[in-house]
Amino acid sequence: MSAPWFWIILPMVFAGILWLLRNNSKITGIVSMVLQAILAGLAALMPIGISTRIGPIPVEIASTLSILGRRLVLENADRSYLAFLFAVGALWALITMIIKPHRSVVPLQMVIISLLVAARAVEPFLFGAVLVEIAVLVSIPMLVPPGTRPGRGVLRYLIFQTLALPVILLAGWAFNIVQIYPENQAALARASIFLGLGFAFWLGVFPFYTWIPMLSEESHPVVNGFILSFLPFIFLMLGLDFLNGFVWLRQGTYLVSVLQVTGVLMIVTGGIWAAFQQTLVRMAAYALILDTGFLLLALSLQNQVGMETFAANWIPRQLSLILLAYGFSTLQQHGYSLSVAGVKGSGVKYPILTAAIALAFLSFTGLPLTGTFAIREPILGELSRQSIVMTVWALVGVAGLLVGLLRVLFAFFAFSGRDWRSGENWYEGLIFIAGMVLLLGAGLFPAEFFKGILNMLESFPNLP
Amino acid sequence: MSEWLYIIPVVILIGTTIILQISWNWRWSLIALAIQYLAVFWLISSVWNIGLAAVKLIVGLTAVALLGVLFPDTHHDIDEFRVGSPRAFQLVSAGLVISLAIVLSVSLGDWFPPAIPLRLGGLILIAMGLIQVGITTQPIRIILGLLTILSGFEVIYAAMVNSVLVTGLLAMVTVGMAMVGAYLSARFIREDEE
Repeated sequence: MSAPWFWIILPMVFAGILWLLRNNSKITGIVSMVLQAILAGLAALMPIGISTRIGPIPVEIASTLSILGRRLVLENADRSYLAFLFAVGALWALITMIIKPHRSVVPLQMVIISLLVAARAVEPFLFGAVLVEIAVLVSIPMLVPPGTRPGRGVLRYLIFQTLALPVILLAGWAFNIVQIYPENQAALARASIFLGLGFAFWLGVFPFYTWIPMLSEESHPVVNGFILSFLPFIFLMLGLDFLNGFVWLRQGTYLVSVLQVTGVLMIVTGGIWAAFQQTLVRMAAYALILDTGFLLLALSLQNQVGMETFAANWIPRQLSLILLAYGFSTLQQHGYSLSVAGVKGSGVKYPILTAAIALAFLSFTGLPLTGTFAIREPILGELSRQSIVMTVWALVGVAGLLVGLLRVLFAFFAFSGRDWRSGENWYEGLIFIAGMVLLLGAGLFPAEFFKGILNMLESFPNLP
Repeated sequence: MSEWLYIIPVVILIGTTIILQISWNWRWSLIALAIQYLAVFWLISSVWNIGLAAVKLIVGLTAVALLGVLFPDTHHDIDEFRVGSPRAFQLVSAGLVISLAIVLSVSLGDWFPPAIPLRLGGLILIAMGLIQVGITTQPIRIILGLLTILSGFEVIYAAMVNSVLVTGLLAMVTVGMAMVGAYLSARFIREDEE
């Protein structure tokens, strides 16, 4: 058996089985969660392409699967990335099972994860863009449940993701030209422009991110959270594959400037817009845009600190997203609307739930004690050595998000004259407390928390 | 001489994209889309063998059939344009965009190596598709626009890359897009009927 069988084909097969069982959301949720947890554990423990023994039995998982004349390759260095991806997938399956957005969500989640893993594993890389597009098409029935009218956000999401496909494929063609004629400056410029534009569409980079808040407002928080959790992760990993594979790209003088300016623009606009939002979901979307800006800034540093902070950032980001999605869905189930005015007083009735939401928001700001503090501090420190103006603007963005968070906190704990009580049921309380402990733990013991995910960088041996 | 023969499908593409842009009749839109795929096949057959080029035609017609079967209400004409975007405005914008595509097809010779008819046909499809997705909020119109953009890209890309697997995967995207269009629009109609 080869690694793609376990981490691509198996989830796809199970997605088909779960589709047949989709009327029983509890069974589909449990099977999906257990399978993904097993696959995450397998990735963490089982070497790929190296002979090992399970008891007396010699075992070796091959790294390559040939399919239709092309290769799917998952190497030993990809294990941390796979373990992280499927662990996060298992957590999303858990909250999907609890919240039950609609019956098709769990099988479609499995299909999407499988396609996204395949998108990074396929050789040559340009086929990955087509697999991503297929994953985007699969996500539409998840975002627009049967019987509902598609909103403008979903349509914009579809448009921007689809526009990325031709541009990325053209970038692949242009890269081949550059490999043949490395001195051709026009070809270099063409390849860079196509690639930059493709990633701008994919990631929702400024000014192409309008669909993110719109989609957040229109779709179910769990479904939207899942999409915004996985797509940017795979896109940025694909981006690192490009940087790792092409020396002229990572040594281009314009790369640092483009990443820095784009990153700071995303932080400033994301943070400032967040301050003025009237709904929690839109505020979360802008917080995510701000966070993506910091990821781009981390990459722009082009040193070991930048790469490590880039990798480490994914843990608090995913935890915060899961907590926010679960928190918003639970608030809705308890009868609250997700507007700032609509959650007034909810902190008095549901203190654990609202504290978890507040902490998840706080984590995006990078304040001390949160998981992102140990990540943002070195990024801003390094950035300040290169450009004090950019650092100030980045801080303005963070301040904007803080203002938005303060508005939410005032709303949560308005009418504090009432009797405090904990209205959450036991499993809601348990999940929110576990999430908060993990987020605070990442802030208090960053070295221990981020140690595992740093191994993800082994996939990119040519990067610092 | 042979290059001029391929100007005919370009003229056909100008006609079909204009019909897709201004037509309020669903049946006419589908017929225009089908003819558009025929013209795309004609253009691609200049650089690929007929067998492989025919894949584009078959896939395109499959997409049209899917949209027609899964979104069968031919009486469901789209009223939105009558209110917001009069035909005159749409014709003027289409004229401007086609003129721009013609200019770009000459000046972007260094960027896209295909011969002028393919480059021109591809750019017209992409530009008109972009206009289509930019001025409407109707799911089915947006899907038609995206299918047009993808067709335009495939015309240009066919002259640069000849890969059976990419052709197969792009075929999956085209059919998937048509299915998504039918899914979104079917829900839309059902809700309206209810």
